[in-house]
Amino acid sequence: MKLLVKFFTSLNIFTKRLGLCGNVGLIAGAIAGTFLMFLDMRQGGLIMNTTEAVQVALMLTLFTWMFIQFVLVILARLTFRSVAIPSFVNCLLTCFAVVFIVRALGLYVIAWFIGIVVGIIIGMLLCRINFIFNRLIKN
Amino acid sequence: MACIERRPRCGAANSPAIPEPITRIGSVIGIIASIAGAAGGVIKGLETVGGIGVGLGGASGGAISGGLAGIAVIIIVGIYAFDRCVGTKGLRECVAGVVSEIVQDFTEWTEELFPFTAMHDRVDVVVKSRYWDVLEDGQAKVFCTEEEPPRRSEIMRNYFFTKRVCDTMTGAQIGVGIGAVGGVIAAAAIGAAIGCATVILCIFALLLAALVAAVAALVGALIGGQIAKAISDDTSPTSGGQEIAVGDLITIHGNMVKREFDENANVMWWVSSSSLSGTAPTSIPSNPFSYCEIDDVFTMDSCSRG
Repeated sequence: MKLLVKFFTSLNIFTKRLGLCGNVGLIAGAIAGTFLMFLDMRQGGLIMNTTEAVQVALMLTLFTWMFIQFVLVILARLTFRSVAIPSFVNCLLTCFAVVFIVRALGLYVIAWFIGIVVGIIIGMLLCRINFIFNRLIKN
Repeated sequence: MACIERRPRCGAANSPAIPEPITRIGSVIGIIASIAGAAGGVIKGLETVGGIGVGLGGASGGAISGGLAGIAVIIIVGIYAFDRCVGTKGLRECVAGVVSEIVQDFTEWTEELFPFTAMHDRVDVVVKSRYWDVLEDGQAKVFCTEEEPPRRSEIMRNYFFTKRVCDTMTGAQIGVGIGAVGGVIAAAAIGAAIGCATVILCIFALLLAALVAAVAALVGALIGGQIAKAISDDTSPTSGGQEIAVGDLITIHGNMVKREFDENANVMWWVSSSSLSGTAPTSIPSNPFSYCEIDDVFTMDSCSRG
């Protein structure tokens, strides 16, 4: 178990640099991308119209948000009030971006990778916007 | 002696803003997604290049989805077991002060529901000002009382190894394994039952399969952890056989480490020995205690410092 834990946490040096929003984005993006890949494999070549893509993105948002609440509130002991809305926005933007980018490119086989990259970018951007916004309010 | 001019260095410049285990879970999910993605790529390659039909069926799709969720929960429980019950080599240190708070294991409902998150008994000590350098060592985060300077004081967290916590971890690890197996079977059944007639039904089946498997693994951890907890003895932090209480003047020897789960603060993980030197007089302010009085009333502690 010790070796298994060490292996699965070996990216910790990298994830530490992402900040809280970056990590939330990474988790949401990785989960959304992986499920999209499975969905493609399960359907044997996924073709979605816009309505279906929106529905899939919403379902992924709900699922990833629930998982992230478990991580942030139960495990990291942050308050639900402080993280519920920001993390929902992060999950919503990440899942929609992942679904529509992967759908546009048709690259379902690497959806998990696109999910990780898009999630990190959106998460870190949200943190940056929040930081700038807070500084403007202070000034 | 009273209060001193030097201000305690509360908080820290080098302290991360991300509470653990978020970054570890980020790593776990990233690696699981990569492994699943690589496996998916190989299957796709076989289908495209080799012409071999390896498409996912209803049961296998659900089982894989549930299996990944189960593995994620197993690793998360493992992270906690590894953190709580494997000692970290640090520096042998000694601090002295007054006990300001005692947090026993299983005090929060989340620790009962998710027993793998239980923490060892913790004794918080408002230390004498001469030990501030110890707490601030290595640019660590420093916990402080909320009083205004010059009465603001530094607090050290001291963890007493609690066997019940590690017994619970063992039980939770066994339980999560059994629960995950059951979860995968249930996930396969869900995948087969719901099927994949439409895109929405298909993604719903995959997500539900993962959710059921994760919940089954967590229920396994709950049952296993609670059984192990019930068998193990309930103990309180003691010093020389005497139960430690808030207001006790205490000297603590232990292994000091900078712990990520404590926001990168220097903590005693774990206390190796401790000695009590009476109780703080009732005449001094105790809500909160301050080094201003403790320095005076606790002049002779058991640390061999000059």
